[in-house]
Amino acid sequence: MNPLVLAARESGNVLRSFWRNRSAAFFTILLPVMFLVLFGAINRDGTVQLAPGGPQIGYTTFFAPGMLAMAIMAGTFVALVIGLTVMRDNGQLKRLRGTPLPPWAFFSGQVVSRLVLVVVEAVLVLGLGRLLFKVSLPPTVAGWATFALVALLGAATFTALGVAFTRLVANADSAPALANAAYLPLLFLSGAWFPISGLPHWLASVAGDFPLAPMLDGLRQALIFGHGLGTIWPDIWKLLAWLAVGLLVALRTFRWERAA
Amino acid sequence: MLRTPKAPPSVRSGRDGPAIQARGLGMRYGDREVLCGIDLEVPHGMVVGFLGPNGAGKTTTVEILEGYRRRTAGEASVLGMDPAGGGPELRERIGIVLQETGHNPELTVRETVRQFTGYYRRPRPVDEVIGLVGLQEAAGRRVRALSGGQRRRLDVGLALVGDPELVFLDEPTTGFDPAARRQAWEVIAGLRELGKTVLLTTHYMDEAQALADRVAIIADGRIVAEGTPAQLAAAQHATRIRFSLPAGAGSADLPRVAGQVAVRGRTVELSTDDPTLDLLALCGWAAGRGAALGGLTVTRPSLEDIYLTLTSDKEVAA
Repeated sequence: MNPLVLAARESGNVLRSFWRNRSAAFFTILLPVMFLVLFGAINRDGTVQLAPGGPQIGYTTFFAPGMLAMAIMAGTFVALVIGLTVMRDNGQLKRLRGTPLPPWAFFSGQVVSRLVLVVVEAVLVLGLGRLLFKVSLPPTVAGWATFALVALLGAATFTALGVAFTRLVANADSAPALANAAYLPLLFLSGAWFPISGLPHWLASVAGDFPLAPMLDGLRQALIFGHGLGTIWPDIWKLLAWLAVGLLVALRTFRWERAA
Repeated sequence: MLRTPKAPPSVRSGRDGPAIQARGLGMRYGDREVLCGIDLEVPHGMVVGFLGPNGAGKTTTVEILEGYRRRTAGEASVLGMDPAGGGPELRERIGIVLQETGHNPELTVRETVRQFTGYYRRPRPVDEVIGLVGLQEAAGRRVRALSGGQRRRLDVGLALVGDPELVFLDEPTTGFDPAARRQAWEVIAGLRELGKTVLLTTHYMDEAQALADRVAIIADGRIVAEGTPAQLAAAQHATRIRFSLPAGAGSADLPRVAGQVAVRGRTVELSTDDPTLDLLALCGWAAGRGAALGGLTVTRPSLEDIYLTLTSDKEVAA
């Protein structure tokens, strides 16, 4: 079996069942868009500063990448932690392990399908943001390329971390709570919703070490100022480091069966 | 409904030796020894029933043979390969039906089967698999809408997608109502007609009796009996004769018989290797007294009895 065909089929299967499970599709795709429209409408003319002393930018231009980042983390990390522990607990993973399907093909299917969803989400958020609130788009080609790179690298990182995180989840029942315990605080502390200039310095710097903050920063720098890799390389390095950690832990500790 | 296999198993397996051979299989978790030297042989084309109470080591044994677990002692060969290192090559040629397995609830039966056909080099056609397990009617339905029995048949179907030579079935009918059980049995009996070798784990003796050519009974990590169902029954050949003492007769009045007599209240139970002569003696005795042997029954031990005897002995020993 051609490896590419195998991976493509696996991702097709994931996507097909994703769209059929309405509530999951809603949570992943529509919730961020809904928030964008809602908060955008409430705060249409507001402005914020990314950093103290920085230029004033439109709130929706600040908020749109936040919602994209939220969608990326929900669609990769949260969805995988819940989805994989369910599959682990009910024996689906064990059954797959009993077929000749190579593990890398299974995981490629998981990753590629999530990346496809990220692209869909990015188009929706930027398109609607532009249409309704005149959200600014990357002013340069380098900005566009950087934006795409950060979004995909972030998605890959949160995919790897999601797989790795399943090792900490004892059973599928506790998966949503544990995933959200990581996801929701990070969303706020990393500044997906509001500028975090008011946070105590130590807290902001702790939050900044987690992968959501560099992804957000990279997305905003590219989207708002058209900055390229030359400017945001610290963000890229942080994401790459987390990606490496996630991959290493995932490869070493992933369990195909529920604990006895 | 059943088709002949595309190629006789002998062509593909190069059948030197049995499909499964295990010698002295041992498994130890820390200080706890859960398998103590299992010997098991499953010849090609046979359905072998593997019986034992919960916790006896059935699933552990089977999971070692399937390649899920690594044995801590002994030798094992599955289709000529060591299951501990068989990898995709072995999984290409075996089919596994696990004890309880979930499905992707959003896919239809046909989509689920089609997904699995992508995993094998020489898959059976999708509709053929669906036909083999009798799910034609449900082929277009989402898995979430299937009954428990239908899901179990889908499990069997998914194990057959790769057209395996050897199929592992782990408690395929546990928790089924009698009708679903019969249907599952038909599907399993169909596997034999396809020329598959089957290792069937169960704790129902009647299931083994109905489906298996040979039976191995495991208790407390050891094989305690092995053979055809008829051999197992013959190994413990005592026939039981039971009746009520006629009015006016005491246990001291009973005639001399070859078997062992036990009297409980008015009930006499006789365990004998020579039921014909003993019955003759008893009937003559009763007729001589002008009485009848009330509630007379003559029973051969069922496999169930043998199984219970063998496995309860072990529990006491442990």
